[in-house]
Amino acid sequence: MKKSKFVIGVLVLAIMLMGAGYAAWSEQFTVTATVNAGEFDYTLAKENMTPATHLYMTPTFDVDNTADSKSVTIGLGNLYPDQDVVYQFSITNNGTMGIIPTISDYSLLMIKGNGAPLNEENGTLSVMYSLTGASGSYMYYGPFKAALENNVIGITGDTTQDVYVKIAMTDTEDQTFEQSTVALSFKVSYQQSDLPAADLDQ
Amino acid sequence: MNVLMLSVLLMGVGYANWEGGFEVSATVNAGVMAIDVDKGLIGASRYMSAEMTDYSDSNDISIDVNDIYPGGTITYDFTVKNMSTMGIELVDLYVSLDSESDSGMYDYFEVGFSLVEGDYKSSDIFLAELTNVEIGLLESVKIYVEVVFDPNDEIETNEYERQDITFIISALYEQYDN
Repeated sequence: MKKSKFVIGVLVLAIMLMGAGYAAWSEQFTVTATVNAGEFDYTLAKENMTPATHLYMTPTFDVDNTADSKSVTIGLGNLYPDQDVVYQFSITNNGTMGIIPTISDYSLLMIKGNGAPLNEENGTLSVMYSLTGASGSYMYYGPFKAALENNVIGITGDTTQDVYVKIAMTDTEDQTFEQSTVALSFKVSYQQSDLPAADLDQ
Repeated sequence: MNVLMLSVLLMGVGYANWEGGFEVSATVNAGVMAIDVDKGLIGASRYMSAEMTDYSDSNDISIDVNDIYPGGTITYDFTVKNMSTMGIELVDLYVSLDSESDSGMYDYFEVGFSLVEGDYKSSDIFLAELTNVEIGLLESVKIYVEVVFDPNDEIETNEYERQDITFIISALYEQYDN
């Protein structure tokens, strides 16, 4: 009997030392994550207008970089044959994430002096666009929209997207286009993107 | 008869009763409850940066993430190794916000856990699956964590830009009793 008591005593002691029963041993660790949110920010800037001044034509070019109402306004009066004006503006990504544009609300009104509509691809009076300004790189609105909307502006390397708009009239004797009017507007909205940055010079 | 008694006396028994005894010596060596937590890999969405640090004097891990944006994701993993002399199990797992951080921003974070890359689950579901699952002696478990900021695209424009937040994931292991 004495032996039995002793054995039970040892067993209880052992169980207590093992930590089972009344309390459990435990270990805890923590993972502390400090997260800093980035910033979405871009600047719209007027670059060049070529020619900067003109003896007869009256080009106007204005860029508003106000935070909530970024816009580009282009105007051209007294256009005549064999003349063109190129408007260059840029978008620079100043944020910490990629940004990508969407073009919407596009409106191009081209009318003759008599009020008849003109097609932008009529070959005489045209509005064309380029992302590089290089000769031969100008395109009509459709391809331009597709190209620009494919260009993510990154945060390293080249962070500025240039846009060129050229309003031109070919060398024509056709006076149909006298006093033609060109009215252009479109909206460009940038939003964050996690896609790779594009080569902005293509 | 005298010769017989003398013989018995010389044997040391004499008239006393015979008796015997023995001792039981019990030496009990207590075990050890210990885990070893090692950092694994960390990754973040493009344009973000992330770094993970573990400390030699503790099992805690620190993570620093910069330039997160809505939809941005951080994934990392760490390994918990049972260095105890007994089996252990995960008994508690929770995510909490540092007291100095903005609880409004915290609401837009989703934290998931998994034993494999992908198929991330909430802490409650993950904990339920691992409770009563023993990690044996010297066995390791790799835990994958995914943190997503604003996964449902609910944040208003530019809300929480340049804001900092710190949150803490706590994991508690206990000896495995089953």
